[in-house]
Amino acid sequence: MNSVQAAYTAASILAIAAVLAGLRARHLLRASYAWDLYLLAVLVGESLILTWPQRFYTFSFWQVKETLYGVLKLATAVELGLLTLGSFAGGRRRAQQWTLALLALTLVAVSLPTPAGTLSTLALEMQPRLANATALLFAAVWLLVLYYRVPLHRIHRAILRGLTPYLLVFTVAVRLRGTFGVELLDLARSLDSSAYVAMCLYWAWEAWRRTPEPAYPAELTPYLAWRARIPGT
Amino acid sequence: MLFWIIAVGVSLVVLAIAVYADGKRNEKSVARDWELVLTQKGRHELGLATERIDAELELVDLAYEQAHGAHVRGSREEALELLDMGCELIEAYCPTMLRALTAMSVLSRMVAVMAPVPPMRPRAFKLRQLVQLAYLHRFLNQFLVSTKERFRLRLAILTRGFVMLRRIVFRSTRRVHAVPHTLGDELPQLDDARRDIRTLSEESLESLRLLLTSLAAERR
Repeated sequence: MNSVQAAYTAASILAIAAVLAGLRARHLLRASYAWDLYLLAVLVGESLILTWPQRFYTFSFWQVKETLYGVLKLATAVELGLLTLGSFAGGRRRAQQWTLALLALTLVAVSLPTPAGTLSTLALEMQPRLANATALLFAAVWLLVLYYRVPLHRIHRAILRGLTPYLLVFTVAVRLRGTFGVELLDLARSLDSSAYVAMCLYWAWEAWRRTPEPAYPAELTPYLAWRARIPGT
Repeated sequence: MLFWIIAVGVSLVVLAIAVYADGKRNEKSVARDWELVLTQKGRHELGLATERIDAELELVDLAYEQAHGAHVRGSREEALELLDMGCELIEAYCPTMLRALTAMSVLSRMVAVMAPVPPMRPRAFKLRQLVQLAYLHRFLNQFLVSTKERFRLRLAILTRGFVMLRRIVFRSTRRVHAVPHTLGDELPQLDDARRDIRTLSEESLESLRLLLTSLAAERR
């Protein structure tokens, strides 16, 4: 691991620590449990790499951690969908239809033949496919929320605004790595790392800032599952 | 590789749409809209809208009635001025109704279940173009199953109606200015336009009433 990579890793660790601290300080940890687990997983994973690179800065560990991150991101998308649209009959039905369609598309994408090669080649093929599918799932939730004008907590909006574009950048970065190999490795890493740090800094800003939530009518409370979780909303 | 390029391309387009729509969204405005559809505020707004529309249409009626009177008296210049006034009032009124219909269209998305929506009656209109539009509405209504789709169609037809009517009034008034002796021929058409604008306005208010009623039914 060179000094630039170490700097990016350190920056992302600090930013995520700031996000978690902000969520705790503002009593927003209950906004999304899956997202909390994701942040925690990244904090631990990246800390291990930074403090013990000889042991953890390896391809096998990268595979394991990226798979875990991918699963937790998918869980976050599903949880957000349930929290925001779950109580609206029409919105829930539409979300279920889109989710099934995207899961079918994911299955097709994962089943497509991959170039013959090593396990590392396979991993580099699968990761962007899964990331792309997760990005589309986030985008589907986001679009449905916008179309139906469903009230959204600012933390949930921050998750959607952050993860959806980042996952696309991640997809491109991993694909660059897989297709062009060593030649564009540094570019791919820089692209991915910069985007990730920027996203975490945005989340840290959202977690810490004090801003009053709009006053929604009491009649809307039964439809907003997240209001019961987050105090003061 | 091709599949990946297509997937990323589609994702970028979807992302661009989401970012654009998110940028335009205002959470306070969303809270206000939900207050409108879920509380008594909606009914209060309906009452205010009815009063406002009645007042504006009375002005339109007054302008055209005075134009008739001036024409009967033989005062062509006065008739033309009053026709212009009527045309300006309708030109100012139609965009307001178009904005209201757009807002209703947004609110209709927020309703999970809608009450049955009747199509407009062609016999309620005088202008040939609006009669044809109402027939088109009846025809298309047969193919839509969900009441939400029928409501959205109704709003689209009303929007089209206001746009057509404004154009008809504008052209008719221009024709009278260009060829003054056609005043006697154009006045009956403008009278029909005046009646049809009232019919379109009543149908618009009925749409808002349907929206609020169906919301109340859904909550029960």
